[in-house]
Amino acid sequence: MASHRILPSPFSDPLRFDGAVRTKVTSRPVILLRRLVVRLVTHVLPLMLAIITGTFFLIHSAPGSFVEIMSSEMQVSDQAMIDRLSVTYGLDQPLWVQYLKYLKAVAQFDLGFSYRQNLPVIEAVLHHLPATLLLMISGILVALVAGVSAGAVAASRPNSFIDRALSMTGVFLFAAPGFWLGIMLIVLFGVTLGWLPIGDMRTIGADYGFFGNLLDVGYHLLLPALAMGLHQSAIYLRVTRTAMLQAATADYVKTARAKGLSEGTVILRHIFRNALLPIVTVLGLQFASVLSGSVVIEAVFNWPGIGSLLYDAVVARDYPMVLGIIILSSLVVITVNLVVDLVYAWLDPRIVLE
Amino acid sequence: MNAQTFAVDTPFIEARGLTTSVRTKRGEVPIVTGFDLSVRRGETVAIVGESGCGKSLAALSLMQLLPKGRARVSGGEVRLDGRDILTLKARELNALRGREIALISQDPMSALNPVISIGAQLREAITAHSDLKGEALHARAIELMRLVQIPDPEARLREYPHRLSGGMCQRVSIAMAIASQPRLLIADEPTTALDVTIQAQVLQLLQRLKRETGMALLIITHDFGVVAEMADRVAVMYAGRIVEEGPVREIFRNPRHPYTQGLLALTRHHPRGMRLPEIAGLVPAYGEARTGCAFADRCPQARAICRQLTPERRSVGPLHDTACWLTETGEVA
Repeated sequence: MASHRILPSPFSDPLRFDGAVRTKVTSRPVILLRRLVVRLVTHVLPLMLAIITGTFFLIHSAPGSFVEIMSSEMQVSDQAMIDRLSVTYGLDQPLWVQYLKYLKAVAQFDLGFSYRQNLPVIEAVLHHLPATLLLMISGILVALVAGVSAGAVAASRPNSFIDRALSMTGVFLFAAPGFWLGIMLIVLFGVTLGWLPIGDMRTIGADYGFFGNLLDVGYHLLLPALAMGLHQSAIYLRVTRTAMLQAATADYVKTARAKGLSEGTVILRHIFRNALLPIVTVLGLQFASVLSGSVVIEAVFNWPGIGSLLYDAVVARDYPMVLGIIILSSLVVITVNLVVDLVYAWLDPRIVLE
Repeated sequence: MNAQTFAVDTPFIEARGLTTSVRTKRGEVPIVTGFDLSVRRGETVAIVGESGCGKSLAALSLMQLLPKGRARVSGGEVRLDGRDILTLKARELNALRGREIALISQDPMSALNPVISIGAQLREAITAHSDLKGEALHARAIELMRLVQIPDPEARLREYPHRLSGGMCQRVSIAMAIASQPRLLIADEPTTALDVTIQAQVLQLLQRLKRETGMALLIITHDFGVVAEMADRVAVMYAGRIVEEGPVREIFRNPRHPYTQGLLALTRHHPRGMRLPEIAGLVPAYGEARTGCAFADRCPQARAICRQLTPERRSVGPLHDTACWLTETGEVA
């Protein structure tokens, strides 16, 4: 009998031997802020420099220059005039000098003057950026709401008919290109049924007052946002389904059930809360592709965003405009990723330790 | 060891002929079969057996906490104060979990939700069965943390699980489990994942809480040391069946099933240099059609009948049952 007994431990004082890891507790907002500053210096600045440098040399290495294109459009063949234009725009200087001058200007928050639009670049971009952001955010919202809720429904009944049906729909939507989906939506809702406008951001020439105009924009926004969102929603469906199924088998879910919590509480607080982590990760990763996808959707729906601005600028070799758009949209993507990063750290307390 | 009070009281929870099956690609396979066990008020019962013998599955069946869609109770009944738990609706089950029966799991680190603070998880266990709010709720959480001897409870409540040691997490799990003063605490291998010195502390803590609250304990373990230290009664499981059950002293002094005898022989002191003893053979695979006693192939005393007929449990002493054909003298009963 004695041999089966567990010897009383000489270390039975819990204060001495089973204490928690004692470290200084720093408040979480401070940790998050510190993380933000470190990110800015170590990630954002080098990344922006790389983007500016890469884009600058790429666009300049494309055949033809702004002056050549302008002179051919205007059918100017006087070499002296072409040279004078080159001098005016500084295009006669060596490329590296132009590069350094550009960097200096950007460092002073000056994105230059668009040859083509005859406007400061910043003005032109800021004029078109809100429309693009509106489209992107609406598209992402559609994708999140549709994808996450469909994923949650699928996960609640794995391998059922509804699960399979949702997954099949997801595969179809993901395989269908956004622009094709857009055209099909136009055909169905715009042409055949005639319920929704087929393009533009507002009814031309109409003024319904402030709220009326808002509604008008929302009305025009529906189809492009659906075209973007439905395509993206397939990814969220997949991620949500997998993450929730995985979280559902975790021990802490068993613990939560053993406490006597209702099924709704268990799913929302314990399963979904943990499934949010991969969803947020995907959101950050997808943002850049949503931006590039919006350029195509803008073309399909004649949406007045930066997509068409960028296209014109590239064709016309409007260097400052191309660079300005790339810089500002990179900043948007980087900012969103930074926010996602912080949200992630806020959602998962384990992150800040690393 | 605790005073042996079990004979006077009626069972608080009783499983009769419980069969729990797991869904596999080849259909449903019963893992736990004909499981009969009762726990009386304030009693400590241990289920002992090797990994995969179905002891955890049986315990989870008592709370209806089997993983949905992958395992289910396919036969028998579980009565709690006379009510059959298997027929309860979700709401009735939730009212019972945590309040009547609570659970602590094997791995304390994964039993706590990594993204929710200790305080929030503990408060959730309290509010599941009470209307405490604000200050009173906080005070109760602190009280529970003190009860499980967690130093500096105010600070610990704000922490997240990854900042605590395994032993600390197990204390938090225990605090959550006793939050609504359950009448039965199921402890599924409560010390397996812990360091040896911490194991003794956690066991002592469970003993003390049991003494102070009068709750019954059902301990799932593979460690006869834990059985000897904690339990009033023990049930030995092999391949999904209880093969022997009785008061701890009786089982240690007079094990009747060859499997129990083998297990106990393994736990005795072994002289240096001697080959460690073992029970020869392998546990039978689940889902294999078999007749007779599941242990027959490994049993040194097996007879012809052992391979033909499954032995029923029969009484071999006061409160002492075994499912074996052999009598004390080696005759077939």
